[in-house]
Amino acid sequence: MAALGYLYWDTKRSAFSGRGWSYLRVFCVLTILWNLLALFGHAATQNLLPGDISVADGYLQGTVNAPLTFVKIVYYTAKLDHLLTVPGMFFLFLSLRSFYNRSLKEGE
Amino acid sequence: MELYMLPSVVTDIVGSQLMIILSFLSLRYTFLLTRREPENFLWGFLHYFCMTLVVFSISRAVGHMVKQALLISDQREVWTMLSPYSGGLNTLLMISVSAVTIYYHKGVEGYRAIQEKAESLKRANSSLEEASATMGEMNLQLEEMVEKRTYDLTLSEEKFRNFFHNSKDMVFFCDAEGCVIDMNEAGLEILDYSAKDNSRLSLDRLFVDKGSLETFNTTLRTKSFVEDFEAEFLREDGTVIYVLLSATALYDDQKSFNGCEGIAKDFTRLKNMTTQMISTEKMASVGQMAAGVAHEINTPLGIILGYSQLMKDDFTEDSEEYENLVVVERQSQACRKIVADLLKFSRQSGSSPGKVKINEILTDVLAITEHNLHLDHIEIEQCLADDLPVINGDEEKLRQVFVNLINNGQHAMEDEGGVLTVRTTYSIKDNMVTASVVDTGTGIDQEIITRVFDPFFTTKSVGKGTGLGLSVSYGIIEDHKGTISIESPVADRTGKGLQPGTAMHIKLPVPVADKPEIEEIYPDN
Repeated sequence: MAALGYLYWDTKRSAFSGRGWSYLRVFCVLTILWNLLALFGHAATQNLLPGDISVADGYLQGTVNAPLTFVKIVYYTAKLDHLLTVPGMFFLFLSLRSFYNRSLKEGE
Repeated sequence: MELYMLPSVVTDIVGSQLMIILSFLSLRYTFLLTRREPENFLWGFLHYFCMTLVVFSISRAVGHMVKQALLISDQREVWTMLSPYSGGLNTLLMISVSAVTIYYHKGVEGYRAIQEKAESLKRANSSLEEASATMGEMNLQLEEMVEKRTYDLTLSEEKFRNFFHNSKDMVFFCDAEGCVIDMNEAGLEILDYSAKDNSRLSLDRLFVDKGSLETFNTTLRTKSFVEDFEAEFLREDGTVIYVLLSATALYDDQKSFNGCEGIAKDFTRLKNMTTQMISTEKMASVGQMAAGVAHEINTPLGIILGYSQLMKDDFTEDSEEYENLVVVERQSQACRKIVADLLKFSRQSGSSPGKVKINEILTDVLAITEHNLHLDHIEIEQCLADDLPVINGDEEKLRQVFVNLINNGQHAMEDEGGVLTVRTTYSIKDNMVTASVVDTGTGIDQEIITRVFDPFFTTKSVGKGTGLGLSVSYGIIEDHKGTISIESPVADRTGKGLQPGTAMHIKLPVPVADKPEIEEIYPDN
């Protein structure tokens, strides 16, 4: 997180202009958020009780049992971490494509 | 309310696959970027970053998919066994990503420094290019200016070279010592120097009068220029010319006198003509005065002479009174002769013009004077031109002129003897007959040469001459529309040197009707 934070700060501080750098900074923010979520998700998993999750009807029919506590909500949200990582990677992809296109234009 | 885990499972499986795809796509672009710009640190960093991210994504995605597969197939125990390894590997890869990112910190600093240097170099290069362009433009302008200046200079140089070479006056340059560094052809011709042998030329050599040279140098150094300075220059052949000299002093960078540049105009002819005109005017006025005086004196002299002759009859020849009257009569007659000479000089006396042969007159005169000349050890040399044209004139008066001239020559050589040359020539160009009487006597001093035609001017001792001989001769020749001139000292036989003596040249016009038809019968002197 610190490394990504530094990368975000430095690219902003260095006034690297262009859309590519903006996308890269979005990637940094999303990846930092994912890291935070993963951190809290792991902590929440450690604090779950044996009856908080039910897989009696099979893994795919598994549920987080009521009542929903903060730990359970954090655990469940952390399971959806790809909703942060995939957009993050997508912005990284957009960033690099932008860099490449810009490089092609400058070459012309 | 309970939350179903299925959405999270689906998100996990699909997200993992998308992660792998996106990481590979990203890696592709970083690969292309590093290929395009291998020297760019940022692309290198992002390439390594993506590589670790790809590995991390694959590891994590594969781990998650395996996890989901094991859990779906109800093999939780297997997953429980593998999960620490998968988590550990993911952590290690995440640390690698972080390490690469930290590496960015140092790398980007270097890259930035390089970029700054590059930017600085680029700016310097740009400035250099601008300066180069400006310099190029200036150089072009300079070249154009130089070309124009060179052209102007060439024109100017040509103009002044033409002026220098084509000038009919003497143009010269001298150094500080007065040595002539350069002189145009006209100048060398005026001074009779050849173009190859002019190394000896200097102002000191040219100026006849050293005092005049001193004045010239002083004026030049004090006023920086000399204007219309009249000077006498010595030619190579020893003759003297009169020049009107203008010069400007030249100075070097230290403002010290460096020499001079000057123009000299030969006005010898003009000066001679002026002198002649002055002389003519003087003679004319003297002639008028002499005529007036002669007329006034002539009448009382006639009365004195008449009365003295009458009174002689009143006394016996042996008486003292008779003797005195004879002296009065003789002196009165002498006075009348002088008066008659004065009238001849002023052209008041009568004239009997006719066809005259100069050679015959000269032969007659020499026949009469030959004996006396030989007594004084004077040789006679005759160079009479054949077929000399006849002229119109008074034979008696011209005879008197030549007697005067020969007498003067004899007088000049009476102590030591010499050669008296009588020469006649005809110039077809001027249509003039020239008769010259040349002696090898003492010559005439330059101080008195302009006064010899003045009435009563004589160098002879008292009683030997009246000083009217040349005055009368001048009047007679003028009356014949001719000219009489003096040359002293005279040119020797080679024509290059000078020898003591005097030459009297008489030029008389030939009537047009008597002009010989065959040209150049007589060589032109």
